[in-house]
Amino acid sequence: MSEIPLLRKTGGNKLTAMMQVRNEAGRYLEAALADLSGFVDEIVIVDDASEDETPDICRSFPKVVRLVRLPEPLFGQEGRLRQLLWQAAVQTEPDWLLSIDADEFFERSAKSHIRSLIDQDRYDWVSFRMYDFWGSLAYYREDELWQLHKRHTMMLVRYLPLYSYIYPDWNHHVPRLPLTCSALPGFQSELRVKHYGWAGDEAARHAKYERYMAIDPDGKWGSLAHYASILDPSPRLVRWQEEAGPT
Amino acid sequence: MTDTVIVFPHCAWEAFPYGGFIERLGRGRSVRFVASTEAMAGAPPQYGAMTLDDLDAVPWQRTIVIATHPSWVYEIAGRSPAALLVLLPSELEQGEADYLVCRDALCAAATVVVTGSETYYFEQWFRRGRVFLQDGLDTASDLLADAAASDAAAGKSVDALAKLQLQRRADFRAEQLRGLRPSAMQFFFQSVYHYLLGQGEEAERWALDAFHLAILSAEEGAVQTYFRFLSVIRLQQGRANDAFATYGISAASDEERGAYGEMLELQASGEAALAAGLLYRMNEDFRQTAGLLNAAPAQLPDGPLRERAVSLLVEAHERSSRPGAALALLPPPRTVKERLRRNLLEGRAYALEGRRHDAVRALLQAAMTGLEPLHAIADIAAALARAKKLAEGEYT
Repeated sequence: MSEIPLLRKTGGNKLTAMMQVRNEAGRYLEAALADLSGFVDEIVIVDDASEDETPDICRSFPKVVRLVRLPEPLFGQEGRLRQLLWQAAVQTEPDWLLSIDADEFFERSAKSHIRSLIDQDRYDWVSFRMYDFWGSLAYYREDELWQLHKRHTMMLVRYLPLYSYIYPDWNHHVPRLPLTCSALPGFQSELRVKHYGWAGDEAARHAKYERYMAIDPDGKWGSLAHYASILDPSPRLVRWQEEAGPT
Repeated sequence: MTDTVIVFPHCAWEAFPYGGFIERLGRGRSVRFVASTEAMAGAPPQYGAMTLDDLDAVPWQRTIVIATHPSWVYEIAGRSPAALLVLLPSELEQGEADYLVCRDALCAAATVVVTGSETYYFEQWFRRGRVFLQDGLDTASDLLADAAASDAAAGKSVDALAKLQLQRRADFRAEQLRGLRPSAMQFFFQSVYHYLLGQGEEAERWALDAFHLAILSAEEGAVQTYFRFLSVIRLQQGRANDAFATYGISAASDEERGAYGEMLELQASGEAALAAGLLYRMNEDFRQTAGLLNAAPAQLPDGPLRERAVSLLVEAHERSSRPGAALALLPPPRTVKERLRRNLLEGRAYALEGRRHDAVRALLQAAMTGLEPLHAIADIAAALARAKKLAEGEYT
């Protein structure tokens, strides 16, 4: 009689991080991979046809066990890109998957809690508070249109091979994890994640604004008011206080 | 050979929806309705009306009974007709708890059940076989239900017709779905049709479609309602380990998680039938649970495994409204609680055998330790009172 493997383990779980990248050289990628290498077991990356040194940076980290390079960018086919990344990541036979971008960083205390979050058999996903840093690594933005941290963002999911995982077939703003994950029991943690995507200078933000408007000029995939607020000259900023967590 | 048809109707003749069927079945047979003369106004002259007192003089072994209202159950109980055809209009399928007890008990005793709604059709399929649907949506399918009722009255097997109707309904619904807005529940129904037909691949595809659509529509409980069903589909396909894992993914409550753990232990110790029986039970497919485990008590040596098989079977019989079958399996009581349970089951079983005095005696004995048996007595009395009103032509 063959032994049936346990679905949900309370210890010894393998954690694979999955990340999609494109032209990340000179930004946060190196720091992000160095940071991730400290608390995940393996890293899987899909490179969306970068034209810079992004693939070399990825390869320089031993925990990057799989790097899928796309010959052509899947621009405007975000659903397909997410699917590809998911498929590449589950091939590493993980127990848990962490979906993270090249400009996202777990707060120190969040990193120290990650094993206790996954070494349990009650919950199949964990969500976090994501903070949009603005103009520097010292402040996050908090106003009417920038409240991501007031909600929970699911980033960590248990991988259950017989479960059905689907992404919506959308072109933009596709959720980072399959829609079906949230139908399983989950845990909304108060642990925090720093998003540095807006932490650059004004020129970088302006470039992002231009890109959004080119992709979605009618606000079909997102809110035009939100796009416009990127150019707000005096947004409300709050100073970040890092929590170290247990030593 | 049957020469008599007795009809226990739910309404007066002028509104009776099964007149055509009675006419066909009644050819060459004496047909009588348990109804008042007034209620039979407009009926063909050869159809007679009879009272409840007349029932004792009926030659039951030569009689086909047609019941269209659940409250007749205790009047029919114990009479052992040659065939009992339960034709249940959809508007009579739901009601208070005591009414549902009558409904399910009547269906459990039937030779065939013809339901008026798809939901109750499936509910019955998860408790017994020989179930048919007649909902007026598809003529071919409705004719199959008619044919099945006639065949059952003639003492013929209707299993092939039941399968044929499942297939016909699956095809009919698939055709309909092409022109309808997608609905998770409709997709799920398609999955159930194919599951009941033993067509695993199609059942799996529809169940997954139902699950995905439910997720996209942000429907609550999609995992328990749709995804979990994949576990029995996979079991049916012979993929036992996948089936248990699928159930395990959907297990959320302590009871469900405990059941999943037990399935794994049973499977690992070679008790595949018991593990499968438990999986069917957790999916509320009591027909499959009973089918799988019926032989287990005789085959297993005394011990915890046999006890577990018996407890699953007893529950399957109870949930399928077969208290007599459950009672036959119960071991001698060792505690007050077990004694109460036995008396309660005895009371219910006797009532369905037409032994009303024995039923009341057993229930009164049980009543010494709780209120439930008193409620059971009241429920039986209420059903008998409703039947009396029906017989007198009061149908509201």
